[in-house]
Amino acid sequence: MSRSIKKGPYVDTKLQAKVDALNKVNQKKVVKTWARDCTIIPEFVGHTFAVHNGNKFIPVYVHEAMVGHKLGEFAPTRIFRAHPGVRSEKSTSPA
Amino acid sequence: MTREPNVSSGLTAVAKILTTVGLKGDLKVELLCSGPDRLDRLSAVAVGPDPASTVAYRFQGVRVQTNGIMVRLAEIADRTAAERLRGQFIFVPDAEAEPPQEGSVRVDDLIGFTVVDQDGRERGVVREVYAMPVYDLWGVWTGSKEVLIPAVAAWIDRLDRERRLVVLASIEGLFDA
Repeated sequence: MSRSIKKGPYVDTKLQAKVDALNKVNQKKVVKTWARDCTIIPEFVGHTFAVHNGNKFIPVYVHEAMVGHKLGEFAPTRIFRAHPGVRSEKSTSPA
Repeated sequence: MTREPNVSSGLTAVAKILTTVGLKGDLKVELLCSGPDRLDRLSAVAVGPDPASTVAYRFQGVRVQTNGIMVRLAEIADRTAAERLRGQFIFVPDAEAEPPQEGSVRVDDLIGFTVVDQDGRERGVVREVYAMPVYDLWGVWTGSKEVLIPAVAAWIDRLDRERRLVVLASIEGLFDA
């Protein structure tokens, strides 16, 4: 069952306060959080959160398309696939 | 654990065989290339656990299903033969390997790049690239711990391929997390 519209999205108040403080001074720095269930709101766009995955903090850079999702969706807890160890065609780019 | 890529083998991996599907020798693969279309252009491939011990196969086709990407090799006609290839890689010769797209860099080439900040101060060495839901994370070894850096323009200023450098746009809080 989905969350009631009346309640609105769940946003961690401590995290929101930290982001609001950063937005006030127009500063960008990594914000550590354990609030994986916190919904990403438009104020979070452009910030980077270090989201705990139960083992370590995974940096999550927030952009517009991520609004409405939960922070935890972008910090996987199990699948953590690295390069295969043989020379491959796999490439990466700073998007 | 980090394994160094074998750069002198003459072969480049395009896919890894994960498991078998069905009785007709279908192989479910993990892509190590740009997409399934890339596999569609293959004709002859080498399959093996590493580039030094491979067997030649004729590539028959690729199809995308809801449960993954399936490939067929002409010489593999049943599940028993397919089972033997589980965990092995599909290779093409280096000469036939496709170059990375504009603005991209091969993961194997990126490993070993030195990471520096805007002041030119060395921060670590790229040791690993992790595939994440939205973008990749570059694992940078600082000498004492691994720091993950999102591969986004907000954090990565530029790549200097000649000097093998990754120049960070900002480092605020990145190395504390």
